[in-house]
Amino acid sequence: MMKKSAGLVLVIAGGLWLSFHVIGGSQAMAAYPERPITLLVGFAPGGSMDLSARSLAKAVEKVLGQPVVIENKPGGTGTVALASLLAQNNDGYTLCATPSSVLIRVPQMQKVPFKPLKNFRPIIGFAEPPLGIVVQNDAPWKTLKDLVADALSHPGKIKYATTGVGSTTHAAVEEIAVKEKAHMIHVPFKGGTEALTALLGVHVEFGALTSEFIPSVKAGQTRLLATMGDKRSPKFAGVPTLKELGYDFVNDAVFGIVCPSGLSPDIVKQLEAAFAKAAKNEQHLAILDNLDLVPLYYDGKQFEDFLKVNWKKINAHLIATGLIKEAATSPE
Amino acid sequence: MNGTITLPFFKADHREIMDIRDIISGIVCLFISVFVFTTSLRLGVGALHDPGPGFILFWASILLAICTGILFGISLLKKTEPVLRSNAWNGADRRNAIIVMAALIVYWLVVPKFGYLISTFALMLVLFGLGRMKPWMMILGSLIIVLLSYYLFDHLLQTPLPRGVLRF
Amino acid sequence: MDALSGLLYGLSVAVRPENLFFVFVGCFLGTLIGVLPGIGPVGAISILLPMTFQLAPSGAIIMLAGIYYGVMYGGSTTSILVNVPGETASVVTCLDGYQMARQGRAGPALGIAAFGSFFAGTIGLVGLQIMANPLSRIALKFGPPEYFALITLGFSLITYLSYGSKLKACVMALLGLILSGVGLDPITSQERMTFGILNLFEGIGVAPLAMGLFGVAEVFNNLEALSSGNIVKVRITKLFPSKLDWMQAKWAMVRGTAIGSLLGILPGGGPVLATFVAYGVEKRVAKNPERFGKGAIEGVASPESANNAAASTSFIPFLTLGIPPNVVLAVLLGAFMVHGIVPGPLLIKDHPDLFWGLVGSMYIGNVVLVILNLPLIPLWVQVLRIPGKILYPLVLLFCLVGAFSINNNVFDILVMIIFGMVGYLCRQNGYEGAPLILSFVLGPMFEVNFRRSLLMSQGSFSIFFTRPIALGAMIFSLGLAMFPIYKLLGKRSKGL
Repeated sequence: MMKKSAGLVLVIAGGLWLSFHVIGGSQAMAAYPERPITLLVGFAPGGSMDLSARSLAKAVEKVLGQPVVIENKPGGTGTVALASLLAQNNDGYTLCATPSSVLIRVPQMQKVPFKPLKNFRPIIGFAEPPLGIVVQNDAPWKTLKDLVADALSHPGKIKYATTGVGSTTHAAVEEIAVKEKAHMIHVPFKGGTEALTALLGVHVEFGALTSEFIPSVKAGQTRLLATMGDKRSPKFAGVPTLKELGYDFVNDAVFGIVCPSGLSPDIVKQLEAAFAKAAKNEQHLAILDNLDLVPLYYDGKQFEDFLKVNWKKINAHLIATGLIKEAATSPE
Repeated sequence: MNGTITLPFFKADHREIMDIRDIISGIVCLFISVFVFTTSLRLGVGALHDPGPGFILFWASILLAICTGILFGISLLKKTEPVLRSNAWNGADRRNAIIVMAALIVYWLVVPKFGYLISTFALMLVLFGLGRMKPWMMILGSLIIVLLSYYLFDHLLQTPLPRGVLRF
Repeated sequence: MDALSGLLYGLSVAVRPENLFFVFVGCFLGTLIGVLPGIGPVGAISILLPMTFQLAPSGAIIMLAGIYYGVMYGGSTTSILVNVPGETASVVTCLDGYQMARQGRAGPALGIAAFGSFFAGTIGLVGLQIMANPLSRIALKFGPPEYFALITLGFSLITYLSYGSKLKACVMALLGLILSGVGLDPITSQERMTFGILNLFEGIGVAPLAMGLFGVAEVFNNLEALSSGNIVKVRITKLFPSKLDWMQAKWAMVRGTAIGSLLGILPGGGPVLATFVAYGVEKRVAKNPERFGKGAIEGVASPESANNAAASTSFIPFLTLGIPPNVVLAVLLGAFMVHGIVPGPLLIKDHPDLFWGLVGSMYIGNVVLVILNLPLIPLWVQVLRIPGKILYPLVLLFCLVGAFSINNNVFDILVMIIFGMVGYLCRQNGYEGAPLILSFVLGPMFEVNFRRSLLMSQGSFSIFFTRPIALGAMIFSLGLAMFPIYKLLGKRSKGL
């Protein structure tokens, strides 16, 4: 009997101690951020969006003092992650890293379940990805012209891989196809690595990809036929741009980070400052350089303006080339 | 494969006796297939060279309807065999299950409002109550479990458990 | 790196103190979860996943994998002693294991389960070690049509090998495929069956679905017996099986290992199906099949070997092709992704330390598990003595928190509750959850690769029959699909 009641006292005491701990813990709620932050990425790991987001996350961790965990939600050309962001609690613990094209290009080609310019609040734009057209190293085509000529003489035989329907790289190839009146077959994948693997396995003839092609070009597995920047890439000075080759296409995608609109302004401000600082991190910049990404900096407002201006630009261009009649999703 | 062995939790060998349960589950499946079929048409089945979002759903719903049709056929053919009603509808067995289901749904509804601690405490009381424990054991047990699990998940594993209007 | 030097390298990674620690923790947790009925590896991995974010990728993955194969060991203990499967993969072990225990032979039953598991797990690992590298080299040959054909084979396998009514298995597999279609379209991002619910845009989560279908449904089913489990009250004295036991069980172990290894590789295969098939085969080849269900030691040795072999070899398609062949590996895929690692053809080349370290750790893990299982049996028996009225509320609580912790979202709790009810109703009506969840896991890959293939071929189905790997898989799966129909027709014509 003695023993039993002694045990009971012990249990109650333990319970009391715990309850103090628990309630004490929740009352001492520290300022934001008090726990890890999740950063969603709309493409599979290993692609340029994923790698650059991971690098920036590592840098911002040091500023915020909390871990930033990457969660990949590939699918629907990056729209799945953005849609999923809206489903989470809007408390600043879930953010999304996305190329601007998923906000302003994809929604014009596809109907997406969000209002791209209204539902999201940009926090930072931090890098510009190099885009390019690559073929297998032992493929017969030495230049883009060869490839286009082949596509013209064999309509429907040339297949190409991209990171998704409506992506910037898809749009670039469509631009070529429309101008040359060539019929090529688009095979969309969920991320650059998946698309590159399909190219290496010769399941497609060429790939229109983001910087994930760079290691394979350096390793001699693939050959770069064209880049899509405004100027030639310093790393591949011998490779012409699409603009030089006479196509009216220059990459307009910028990698950035957004949160849902309506997040408390204090937290947004804190995040903006933290990311701005992180973007200057030496290690991060070295990684970007390694990935051949061009660092740039837009704060939230600048990125928002960038999105608004480019929505209209892309819209006009897509209509002019006849790819769409009107944007599939209304922006606001 | 061998069909003669019965699994411990399968009361009746469903391959031998097709009873009313198959008819009901068949009807449910048929409803599902009709719903999926119409959805797939709305989404657009697409063409073979360019399959649309409804393509797989379209064919899956048709196959589902065919399977349920066969299932129906077999049940109706075997109508003459004794139907094991007693086994299928044993109300007493299900009372506990239904109470717990209802408790869980209520739990889901209240957890965002009242927070993890209060809601889980109440849920645990119900669950332990079904086990016919002494009242003080129930209360003490629930309290300890709730606090321990809160400490484990919220503090050690850093899962931000839901906090209610009272901030805990 | 060839298989042997790879293994040596892997062992050198695995014996680093921190990795050794994670192997041990993973195996211990796996055994514990295996012993406890209701809570499975999916729930456990989901709960622990956030904790591993801060670990090095190799440590995190070594630990989570340890949970996966550790469960295969622990599950048998509950099946044998309480006649309730601790895990889906040890359902079959109940049949003869519990009977053996009632005859006072619980010791040899537990012993043969552990030794069979060790033998099979190790052989499966040898297979993984030898096959992974060559396979990952030819894996580049796997394009959308090959993936599609392979997954089709998986679907045929799921329904062909499932337990009970094949027709109902078909229905469940189709429902799984339909459920996997919920969410944004993977190619065109259109909403499908989301009812405008934001949380459904990324689809139904595999972890809440699996936890509902197995964990919560299991609790619902056992509520009738809230009294304490009827543990066989025997003193477990002799764990080492007698010479006669060995003679009877040795070929069963070998056959179980072979079946498990094979089925583990195929998508949709994996431990659960392997146990059913191994048991069926054992009964068929036995000289006196009437012993089965009455405490035949082969009926324990064979399925327990099969599930461990399958657990080992299921890493082959997962690591080399990126196809998760079962639901636990589908959840584990998330763990890989969090650390920025993509299982697939490039994994061994890009992350040799991780790949070989994992293989090495699994060899060590199998030894750890035998040590954990045999001498510690009394401890696990104590765990089993927890009465149901305390255990089941706890299991429910862990499921609730587990579902919540995946996305810190209450919606996942609702998904889990709903599928708990669905699973309960299905089981009451003779439908099995396994085909549904397997086809749910394979569904998205099936759809995307099918659509990609048709895009590539411009709508011609010849693409599936002109490429050798795809053709082989298609012929095999068509054969599997035709076989039951052929048998049915044969029976009909004889019967009528």
